Amino acid sequence: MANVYVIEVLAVVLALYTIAYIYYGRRILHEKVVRASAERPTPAIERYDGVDYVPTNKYVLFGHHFASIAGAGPIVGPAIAMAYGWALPLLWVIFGNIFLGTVHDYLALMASVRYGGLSVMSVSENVMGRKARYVFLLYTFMALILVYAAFASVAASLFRVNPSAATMSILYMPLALLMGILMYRTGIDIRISTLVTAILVIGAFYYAYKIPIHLASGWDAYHIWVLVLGVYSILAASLPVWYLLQPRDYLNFYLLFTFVIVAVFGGLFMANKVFTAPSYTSFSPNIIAGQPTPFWPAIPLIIACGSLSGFHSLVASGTSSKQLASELDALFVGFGGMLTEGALSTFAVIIPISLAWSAPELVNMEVFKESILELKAVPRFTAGYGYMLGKTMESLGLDFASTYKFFALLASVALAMFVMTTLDTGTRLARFAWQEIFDWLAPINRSLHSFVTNRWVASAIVVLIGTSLAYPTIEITLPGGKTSTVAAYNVVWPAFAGVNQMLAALALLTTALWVYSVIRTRGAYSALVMVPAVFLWVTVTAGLSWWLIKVAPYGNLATVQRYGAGAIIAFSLVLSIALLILFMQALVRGKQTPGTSTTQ
Amino acid sequence: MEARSAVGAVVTILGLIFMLYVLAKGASAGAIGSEEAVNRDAALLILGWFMVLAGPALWFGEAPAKVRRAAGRGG
Repeated sequence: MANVYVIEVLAVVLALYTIAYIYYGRRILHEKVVRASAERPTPAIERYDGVDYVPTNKYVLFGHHFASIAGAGPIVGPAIAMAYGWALPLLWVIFGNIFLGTVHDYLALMASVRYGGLSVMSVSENVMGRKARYVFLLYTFMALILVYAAFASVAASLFRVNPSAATMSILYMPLALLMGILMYRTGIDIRISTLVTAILVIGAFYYAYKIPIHLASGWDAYHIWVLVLGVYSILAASLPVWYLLQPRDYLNFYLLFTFVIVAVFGGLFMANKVFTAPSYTSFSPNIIAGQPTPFWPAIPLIIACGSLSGFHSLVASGTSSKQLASELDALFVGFGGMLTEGALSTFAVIIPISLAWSAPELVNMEVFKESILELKAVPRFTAGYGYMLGKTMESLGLDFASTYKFFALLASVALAMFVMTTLDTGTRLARFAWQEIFDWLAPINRSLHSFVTNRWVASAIVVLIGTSLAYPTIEITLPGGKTSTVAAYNVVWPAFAGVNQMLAALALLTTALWVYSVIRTRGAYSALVMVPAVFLWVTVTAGLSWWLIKVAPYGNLATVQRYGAGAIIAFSLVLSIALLILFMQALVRGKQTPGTSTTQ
Repeated sequence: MEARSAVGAVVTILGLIFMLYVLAKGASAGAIGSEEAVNRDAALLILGWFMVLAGPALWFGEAPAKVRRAAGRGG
């Protein structure tokens, strides 16, 4: 393949995203399919409660939404997928982002808004019946427990090996809280509040750069961080959204946007450089559990958030829909948030790793011996990001080695912020699912219902179960007979990834049915939702089946991973088939009602 | 000041003092805590962190007027 310059990839991706936002998002989904209107009051206005239902400035809400959906997925997934070369991961990010992820996120947000802020699981009851709702809720609650366990384990591992990231996280949360108090309590203008807090955040970053926090040695530190994060998650998930979650995520938006903009800046400085990574290595390199992993259907099990993710529908219909001040803000928040996440994967992960692939500077610094593929996903990402920005700074006359270290730390801190946000938002969403599961109890025993669904009790239940999965470390046997201790996420992550993507398929089927049967948009516009929904269901079902047939029996898995994750994935498949049957039945019923919008 | 607000103020201010003390000490020592075991400074920092996160909710109440006004619920 001919040399590919960075500028060519940047230009193509930005052009595609602009066209997607204006024509696909605004002209079709927003105006023709959903027919959003400023006249229709949102749940934040109609059901305001000062805790979860709170109308919010669209930029603040964008910050919350983007920071919540952008967990470690858009970083770790593409970094792993670089084993295919750069072309296939980039193709999946762009294709999935535009045709699956944006549609999924935007429709989950709008369907929830039209149903008074209900979760996408409760929307399924309205379009597929009561059985679907409870099955979907239970499934989602389990998925969110896995999300909690995976991210608590990732965060604790990150803090263990990079104590400066822990320092930054400890300092950052009180500063976010200060931002909320400045904004809402003192009435100080949002721009001044932002400026004051941003200066303090920069100071905190400098402090964290110099001063690490040590809790204990080795794996003891991991265990203690898991417990500390558990208490933090109960607090953060139970306090009102305006208090910590909104301002924190708003600040996160600046941090993460800076992170992406710095990456674009680096990309522009490297515009005349060519990718040193191969565009294509193999259709089936050894990736998952050391097994040959075919790009299709396994890619959704590897690249999640940067392309699409079921967790997004829970955020969109969980916290974001309850804070949307106007339906007209939904395009910017839901559709724009997903495009920004795809940009994060492209500019901050795929392009930097493609440049740093076999960089002699990194070989000399002993980051790797021959190729960046020798590194695990997280250091692969930080090394790529650090390299691209280090080379940029070198071209401006600064020292490569020190700027490389600085930007690699920035990448670690950004990742820590992503992970912490997903952790507490996931806990809040699991609390919502738990509260909805027990709604049948209210008319039978009101006091018991109040206790079981109390926000502190519900958050504590989620955290206790999640912590019990995240706390243990695991002894694995490596090829050659040596043993190694690894964190729990090595077991939990594949199960989380598979269940998460199936959740996306189910949410997309639900919203496709909502478009078809409830708002009765028909013809080509309806097909723009229905076709991606069916394609995704088929792909994820094939991917999970592949995992069960090819990976579980033969992969280098621990026993608990083989049977634990295997059972969850088998359950997911059965459930997805059950929901597909309910979907087909509801579709047939929906066909009997006339449409309100058809196209040629 | 109501009892709830007073408790919130005490919790917040104590938490801030704990955090600032440990942060200042860490700045002069070059690190916070110990790589051997959880020491007093690390425990105090984590405790202060939780207090600072939880305290202001009690101190200031749960829904500020600006948030209520945005929802059309008066001020």
